[in-house]
Amino acid sequence: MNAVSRFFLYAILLLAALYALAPLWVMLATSFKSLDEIREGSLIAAPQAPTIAAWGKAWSRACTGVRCDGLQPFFINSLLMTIPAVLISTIIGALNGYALTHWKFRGSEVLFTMLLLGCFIPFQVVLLPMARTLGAIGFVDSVFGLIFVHVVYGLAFTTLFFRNYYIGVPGELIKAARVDGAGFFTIFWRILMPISMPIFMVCVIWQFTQIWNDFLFGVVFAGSDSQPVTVALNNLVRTSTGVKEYNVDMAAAIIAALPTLLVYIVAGKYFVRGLTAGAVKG
Amino acid sequence: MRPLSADRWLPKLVLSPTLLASLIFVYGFILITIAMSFTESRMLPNWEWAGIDRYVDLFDNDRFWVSAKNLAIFGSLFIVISMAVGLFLAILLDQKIRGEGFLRAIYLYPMALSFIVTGTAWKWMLNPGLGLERIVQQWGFADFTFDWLVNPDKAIYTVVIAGVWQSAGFAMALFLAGLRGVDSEIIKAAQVDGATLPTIYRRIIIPSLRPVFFSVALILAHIAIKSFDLVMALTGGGPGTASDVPAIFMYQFSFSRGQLGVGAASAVMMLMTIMAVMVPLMYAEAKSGNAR
Amino acid sequence: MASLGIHNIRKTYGDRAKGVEVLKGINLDIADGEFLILVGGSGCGKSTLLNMIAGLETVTEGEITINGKRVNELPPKDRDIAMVFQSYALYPSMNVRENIAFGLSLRKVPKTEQDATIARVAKLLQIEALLNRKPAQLSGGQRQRVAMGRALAREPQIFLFDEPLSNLDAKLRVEMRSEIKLLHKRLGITTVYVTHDQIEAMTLGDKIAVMKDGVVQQFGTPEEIYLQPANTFVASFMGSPPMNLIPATLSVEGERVTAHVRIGETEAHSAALPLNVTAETVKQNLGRRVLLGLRPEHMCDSSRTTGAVAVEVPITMTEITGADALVFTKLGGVDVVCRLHPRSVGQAERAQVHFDMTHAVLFDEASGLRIS
Repeated sequence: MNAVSRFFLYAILLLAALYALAPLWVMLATSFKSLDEIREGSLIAAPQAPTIAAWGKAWSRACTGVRCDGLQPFFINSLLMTIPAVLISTIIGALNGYALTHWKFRGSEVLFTMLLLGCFIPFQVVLLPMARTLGAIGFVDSVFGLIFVHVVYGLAFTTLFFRNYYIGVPGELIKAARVDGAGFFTIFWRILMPISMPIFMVCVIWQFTQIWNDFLFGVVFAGSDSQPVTVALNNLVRTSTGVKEYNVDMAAAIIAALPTLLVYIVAGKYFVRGLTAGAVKG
Repeated sequence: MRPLSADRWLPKLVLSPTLLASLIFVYGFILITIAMSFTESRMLPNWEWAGIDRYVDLFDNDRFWVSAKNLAIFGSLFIVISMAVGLFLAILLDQKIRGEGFLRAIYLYPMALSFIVTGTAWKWMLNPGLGLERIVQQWGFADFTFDWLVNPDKAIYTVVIAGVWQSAGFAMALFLAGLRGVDSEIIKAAQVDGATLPTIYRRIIIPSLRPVFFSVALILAHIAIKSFDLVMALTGGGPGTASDVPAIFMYQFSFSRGQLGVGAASAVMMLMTIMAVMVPLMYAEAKSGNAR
Repeated sequence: MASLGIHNIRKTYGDRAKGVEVLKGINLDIADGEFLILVGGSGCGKSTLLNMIAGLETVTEGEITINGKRVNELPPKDRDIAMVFQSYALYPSMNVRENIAFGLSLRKVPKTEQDATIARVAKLLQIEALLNRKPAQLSGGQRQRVAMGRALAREPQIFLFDEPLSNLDAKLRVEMRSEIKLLHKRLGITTVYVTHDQIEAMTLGDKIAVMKDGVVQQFGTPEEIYLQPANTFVASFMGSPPMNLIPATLSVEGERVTAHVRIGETEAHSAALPLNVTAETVKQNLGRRVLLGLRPEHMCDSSRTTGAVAVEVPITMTEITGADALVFTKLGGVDVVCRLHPRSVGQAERAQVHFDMTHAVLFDEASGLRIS
């Protein structure tokens, strides 16, 4: 390839990178501007007089509907919901994947196919019965309801991740351990767990991103005090009390995006692996 | 009598909660939703049989057809553009690019964001008063107008713009993984045969990515049909109901307007749509997989 | 140490009536300290049978006994067996020492005793220097040793080997083969060894069970299997090159039985080969075609045998392997290999081949069974 086409190649790739980064830059720049500067200046210009006032307001004072405590309480809700839901669904998924690959029994393949189809349904088709069920067992208006829902509908994916990983573990390893005298849980704990760290990372990160970013379950099943941060962000942006404060909106958006962005920066490798693994499912 | 050793029943015991959850909360609930779509349910479930009345209501509702049309527009553009951009970037990145890992990370980061965040950001940027429109005007094109966000005929296209921004990197990652999986000896053989680089891509590499095209299309279709949060955050279905999609329709009728029966019927339509897209795709994929 | 009994073993996958039957009534008995080889092509059921002995697969029908005691229902850990796998199946997260100790620690063997066992086994197999390494840092041969060490440490009643050498290169395979043989000699532990390699089967086994399609074709000592194959499958499976199976017709004059074999492809005349069987034995087969089984080394030079029948045959091809010249000819319309001395072949188009008829065996052409 000659130098000219090489130049165009890099030019196109860099332009695409700029395009991908532009919204993040605009969000960041806007969040550090004052409302006056936003009105006077350009969308993409760097803040002339950076101020963190918008961030403070977004975190603790902005109105999200009737409440005006900022995103803080909802951010905590999201943490309280996401962490247990991720851990529970991952652990159950790991055990399921292990049982489905190395302890097959009559019907285990059918069971797996059945679970797999659960990955494809639009959640709208379960919303109405689930809303009534959560109401009936008193889980509505609490983070427990959301934890429950995320675990139930996350299991298909976590099982899939671990099943696809454990299918690559040679069956002879399990046989050797059984001859050595190990049982179901001993083999899982002593033989498989130590070699499962990569898939645990993939699964935890995938689930974290999915659950943290969820909006549908949050908006349908959460009460006003148990809403996750995505719902609160949407309310914050929609709540207008006089002047539209774009800087506060943007600061709030970044706050809501921060945990998943951090995970992406720290463990992007696993995130990508999860995406591609989820993609080649079936 | 054979004594049952623990290892016989433990695997089944471990799987049973998941089996139960799947039977009740996936398959059972789908059946309940389907049943509800044939009842007189309004504010509260009412199990009085209504035949296909709720579907008649649904099909008589202009808003439903608007949302279906919007889904068709959004879905097809979103899938086609995301795949085209993703494949294009993947091919460019496949040319032994310096800093490939860094560029890849940049293209892909939007996938880590919530659609709500994406929607919020693009809503601000596409804002006719202070957003893109004004920058271009500031650059000297005083007559430039870009009001798609508030234009009923164009609002759904803003959803396409934001959706593609978020998902093109994802398509890129899958295509790139596919490109890297192509047997390098086949490429060498083609080079020895005198094929040029574009020819090798067009005739050999891209055709061999068939399964990747399938899975990318499948996932993007899935995202499109379920799309709810992005539209909620970006346009809220507006202006008016101009950018409604079925997911919003379902949400509004079920939870704001007290029309459970109609909501259920629209959810069933969504399920049917997904199945109509997925089943042939998966069938074709399975068939070509068997033939290989 | 223990004897092993396998009685009427059947294995069906799926539904008992409609499923696939992979083992169709296996009967084998070996005494304490014997080395049993299960040999056969892929899909013959040999590994399934081994897994059933280990307790890794359930028994559909029949009985497996260890020391006369039924073990069908016992899980693997209660059968007092140890197993070496084709892929070695070393636990990847544990080092060599932990791999060997794993089974011991699960059996709550005291730490000091574990250490003593590890030391003993490591010395025996010369893997002392590897004890702190992870499996990924070992070569194929070293992994093989560790896998054997892990099995040995348990001091089992029965040793099970599932194609343990097939992942090694040719040279190492021969080395490890003799090492396994030595070990068995030294420890005298009852052993069941699965392989598809007939040389391993011949060199290692006290008893060999040749299997095909879930049925034991022949069960006997290596010598019996080699010289007196029960049927044409065993005859052609064991030995390399395999036993020649030459179509022939029989004639009887008084008590003398003679086999007539057509020579070459176009030649009209045939060779008359005297057999040392009685007329009574072959009376069912008179006038019908039979297969005359002769190993290549029993069709050789005069220098290698005495008292044989000499026949001149046309040569279709010659392969010099170094020690031997494998001469290909046509007898009775099929390709036949003779093992001659390289010196006696040269560029000639014909060769003088001496048939050692004392080793000849006859098979019924239709059923493939040996006539005896």
